[in-house]
This record gives sequence, structure tokens and C-alpha cells, in this order.
Amino acid sequence: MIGKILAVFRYELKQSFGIGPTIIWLLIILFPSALQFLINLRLGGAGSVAIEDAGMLVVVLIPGAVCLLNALMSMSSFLHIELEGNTWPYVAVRSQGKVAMMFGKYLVAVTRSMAAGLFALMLMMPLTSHALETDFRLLVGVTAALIALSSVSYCSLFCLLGVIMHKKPLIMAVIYMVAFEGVISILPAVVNKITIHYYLRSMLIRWMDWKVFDLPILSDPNIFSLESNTPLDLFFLAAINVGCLVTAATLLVNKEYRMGEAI
Amino acid sequence: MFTADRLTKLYGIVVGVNDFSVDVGQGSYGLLGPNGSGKTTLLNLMTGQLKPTVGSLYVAGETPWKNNRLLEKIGFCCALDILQTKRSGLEWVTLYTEMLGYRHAIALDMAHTALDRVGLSRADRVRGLDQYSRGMKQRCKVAQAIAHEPDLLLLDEPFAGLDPIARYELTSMLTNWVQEGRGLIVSSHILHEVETICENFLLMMNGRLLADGNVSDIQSMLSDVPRKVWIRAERSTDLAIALQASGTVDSISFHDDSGGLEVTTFDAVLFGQNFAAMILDNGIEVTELHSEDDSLDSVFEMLMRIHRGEA
Repeated sequence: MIGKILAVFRYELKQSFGIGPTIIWLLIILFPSALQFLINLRLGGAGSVAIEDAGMLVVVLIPGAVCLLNALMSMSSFLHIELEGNTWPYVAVRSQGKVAMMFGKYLVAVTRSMAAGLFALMLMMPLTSHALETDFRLLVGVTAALIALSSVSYCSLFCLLGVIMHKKPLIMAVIYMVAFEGVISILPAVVNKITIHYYLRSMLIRWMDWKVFDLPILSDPNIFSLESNTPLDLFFLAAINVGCLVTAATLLVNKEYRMGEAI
Repeated sequence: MFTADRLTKLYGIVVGVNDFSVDVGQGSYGLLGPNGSGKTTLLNLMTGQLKPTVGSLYVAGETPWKNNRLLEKIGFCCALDILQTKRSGLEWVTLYTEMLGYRHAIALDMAHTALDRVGLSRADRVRGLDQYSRGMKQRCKVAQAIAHEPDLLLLDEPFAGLDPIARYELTSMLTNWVQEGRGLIVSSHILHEVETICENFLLMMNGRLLADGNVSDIQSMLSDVPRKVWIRAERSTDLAIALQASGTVDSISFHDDSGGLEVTTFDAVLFGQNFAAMILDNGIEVTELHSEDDSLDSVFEMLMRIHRGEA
């Protein structure tokens, strides 16, 4: 099984570096730096910026946007591409082929998402660090950890969405992302605990030792798991990941996918 | 090779395969039928891509649905064209061979062997699949199906898009495959090519099995079916009267154009024996005479007519 997953990983990784996908990938990487550059121009280099302000921007833009967008684009349409490209039957007639294909593509999506996040961080930090009041190394470390968690988690989530809504995966994934990760995750209610963003931002303020009321945005304590701790948050995040991947694999194995209209 | 008992597959209210029962032994089989007759659905059921709605299906003694062990013994080539990939044919075939559980280096060798066998040149196999003609993609699809030397090869419309040379090469390859004693099921509507490869046939229409067996078996089933003969003569009305008087014909109809007759007879041999003497005696000049031949094409046409209640 591992050999099959690695075979898919090798093939799909090469496939993912075509001209079109690479240009989009680079544009997403450059987006946070470009935005930070424009902010710096606006500030004109005058004065310093609170680390909460600059840090929130880094975290919102990189694990929250770069990684999420990469995960969405790489993973949500993984099944749709096979079905539309008429290659699904060749996957389906291989022993454990469906699951191997899913995990192979999942690894590619996580790799691309993490790499994009780390590149974006490397580009953004020089533009941010000069304005920070304090040492930014902690912020870099925390952001890197959040990039890893964000990539793994969003890829799992979009993997499941791609299996459930395989006919219009990108549209459905964007709707889900806006509705759940955008709106529901910032509602001061229990329902926000089912979103990935809730756990990521909770770990951010805990690791950075920030006070919720000092935050420039999202300064409501009800939208953070302040009473919790990091191992518990990681446990919930892992449960969401495993749940998404196991459900996706189970659906893939048990569901019939009919291609075209051939009878 | 496979057994179906009242096998039925429904897509909502659309019937894919309908009450299909057959017991097929080892050998080569042509799966024939018009578009929408259920050939692809049957192959998808046999490869475990679909689950029967009703009835049972056994391939090599095992149920195909969610059966990983069975999948290792099967090679499958689907009818649809491969789209949306820039990787080379060699990489593509290697991937699917690796997905059968072979290590990369071994899978690469197996892919080269399979591509040699389907006649895709060394230069072509390293080009991107998006630059391939339909025929080249077809060769790749067949190559991924045979790379692991399966016991049973299932090909859905394998001749689609192939030029005459490629068709000949694929026919030769499949003939050798059958001679090696391996199982083969070829779905096609190009009857004469299937006739060259396969000894036996399964004829489908509207999801049902119309007939199965070799050409002789099927022809013997049709012994009670009237055969058609087309005749063109200058005095067609006189010919029609003489034919009616001979008692060897079942029905006579005139074509719209002058001089053409369509005659049906239950005893084609007797008709043939009497026809020459009859036209000589009546001094009728016949310019054209032909009957349905014994090819699978005409056998299939006859079965269709029976199925539609026209014969």
C-alpha cells in the first residue's frame, strides 16, 4: 500500500508542476508579501507596529490564506479530475487503488501547501520584522508550526469535501470555506469548535502568549479555546483530520462512480 | 470465466443491465450490441466498479465488488479517451503498473514490454499524453491493461480511434493473447474485427442477452427465421409472379425504384436450387442478386429483427 501511495505521490507531484499550476502557486506565495509591501509603503516606515498587529496579519495571510488556498486548489478537485479525465476506471480496477490515489494526492497537496506557506513566510518576514517592537523569531517558529498544521488539516477537510461533492468541488469548497471557516469559526458559540481555524488561532495566541483583548481583530475571548491546552487542541485537530480522511476513504471504497453517460 | 444470474443494474430509472443470465467458460468472447445495450455496464460490473442492483455475478469464481484479490487477475481498458494529463505514456503506464504493487524499476520494465507489445515507439512513449493521437492513447490504455499479464483481459471498444495498421497490430496481439490460453472479452461494434479474434459471442440489446455461443450456434438458432434475398431484374413483376408460383418464397415486396424485389424465404437452399431454372424458363434477365451473408453482421441483424418482433 505504501509503495502504491508513493507511486501516486511521485507521479502527481511532477504533474502538479505544470506551467499553469506553478504560476498560480507562485502568485499565491507572493500575495502576502505584496500586501505587506503595500502596507509598509502606506506607513512610510514611520514608527513601529505592535507584534499582535503584524503577527495576526502574518498568520491570517499565510496559514489562513496561502495554505488554505493551496489545499483548496490541490485537494478539493482530486476525484473530479480523475473522473473528468476518464482515468478513474484505471484507479478503480487496481487493488486498493482508490485509497492509494487519495493518499498519494493528499501527500502532494500537503507538500505543496506547506512549501507555499514556508516560501511565503520567508518572503514576508523581511518586510515585517523591521517594524516589530520585539524579536520576531518566536513569531516565525509559531507561524511555521501553524503552516504545517494548517496544511495537513485543510487538505484533510478538502479531501472529504472533494469526495462528497465531486461534481462541483471547487465551488462547493469555496462555499464551505466562507460559511464555516469564515463565518461560523468566528461566531462566539459552541459550533465554532468544529472548524479548523478555531484551533489554529487558539494555539497561536497561546504560543505567542498574547492577550485576547490586545488583538487588533477577533478580540472576543469566546472565539478562542482559552480554557483548553495545546495537547487537547492538537488532539481535536488530529481527530478532525483522521475523521475526514477515514470518512473520505470509506466513501471512495463503497461508492459507485459512473463516468460519462456510457451504458 | 464468469457467471451471471439474473444480473440487473439500474441507474435510477435507467436500466443498464436487465435480468442478464449467462455461464461463460474460459476462452475469447466478443461482447456485441448497439450503443446503450449495456456492454459497458456489464464490464464495469465485472471489474467491480459497479455493484449489482439485483442478481449475482461471479468472475473467476469470485464476486467482483470490493474484491481486491480478483482485481489483481484482471486487466481492463475502458472505452473513454484519456484527458487532462501532460505526463508521458511511459510514466502513465508505469504508474498503473506500480499501483498493482510492483516496485518502480520492475514496473518501468513491465511498462516498456507492454508498450512494445502494443507497438508504441520508444520516441512516442516519452512524449506527453496530451500530444498523443487517439490511436496512441488507445495503445497506452491497452498497455496498462496487459502490463501485468492478467488472466482475464476486458477491453471496451479497443479499436476505437485506431488506424488500419494499428487495428491489424492490435488484432494480431489479441489473437496471440487468446492462443496463449488467456481469457479475453472484447466489447465492440466493429463486428468483423471481433469475429477475427473471438470464437464466441455474447449479443446484447437493451441490457439483455440476445444470444450467446459461436457463429454456428447462433446461426442454428436462426434456422426458422426467413432469410432475405434482394433481386434486381428488368421484368420484376413477371419475376414476382414466377417466384410466387414456385412456392419457395415466403413474401415478396417491391422496392420503390423500379426493378427491385425483396424476397424472404424459409429455405434458402431450395430457393437457390430452383432460382436459376425459373428465370431461364421465364426468360427473365436478372441484373443483381444478393442475400444476407453468413457474417456476424447479418446474424446480429437477424437477432435484432427477432428481438424487435419483425421476424
